Amino acid sequence: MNPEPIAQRELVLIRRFQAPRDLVWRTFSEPELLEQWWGPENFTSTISKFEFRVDGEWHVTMRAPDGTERFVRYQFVEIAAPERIVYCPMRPPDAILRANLPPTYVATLTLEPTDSGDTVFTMRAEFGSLAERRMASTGGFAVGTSQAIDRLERLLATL
Amino acid sequence: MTQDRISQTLAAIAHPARRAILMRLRQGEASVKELAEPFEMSVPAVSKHLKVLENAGLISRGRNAQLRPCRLEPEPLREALDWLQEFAEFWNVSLDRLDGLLDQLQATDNTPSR
Repeated sequence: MNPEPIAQRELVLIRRFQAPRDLVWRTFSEPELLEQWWGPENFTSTISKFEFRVDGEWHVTMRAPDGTERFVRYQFVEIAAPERIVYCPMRPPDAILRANLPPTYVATLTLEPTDSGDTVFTMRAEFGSLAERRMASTGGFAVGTSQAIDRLERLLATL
Repeated sequence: MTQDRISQTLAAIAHPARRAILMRLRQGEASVKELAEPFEMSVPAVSKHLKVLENAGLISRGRNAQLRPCRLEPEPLREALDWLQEFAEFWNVSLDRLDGLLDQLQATDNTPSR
């Protein structure tokens, strides 16, 4: 009856950047750099609050090309320079009025230097009750992009 | 019960037995007994999994008092998949942009660090 281990309820993205870790770290920890890359295609992001510390809040407005805006609030859970940032989204202010809430998750961002001077970035999002419990990471890099998506896709493939 | 629906869906499919049940239900409705047989699970064990799936809205049960056949309800799965894909897409696009920004920062840096 035991549910499957952590890997089944998380989504992992890995990317290698040809840049030293300290520089990559700056693009996550300096709001004026962060807002230059954060957000969907062709959106412009404006960071209105950035308390870069544990329990600090981070507010960003993402503006679509058609002018519509999306305001999101996040909260830092852990910060370990220059290698790890853990944060989670905060509930939207009108959460009580909404029937369908976006899922809760905890995102762990890690930066690992390589021997050649590159940086390997990993984003690991844990969902739901798993996120709330926030179990210790199993360590090492997960293979593949997203087990959660793969699993759902397989399930949906023949529906 | 305060959990959002997508998290609930992900939790529901996190168990191999429940995924197997959903896979079986793709072929059509089935009773608890029919579901229990191929998996070599007891009826109470299957019933427990069905309860989780039903609470997550992934299956519905018929009114027939005796058999109460189970039927697959794919909508929450689609919803969860859509959200996850959007989330992954958000990150992929952002990281593409970050890649460009890092190139730019390194190009303007007078003291190359590499």
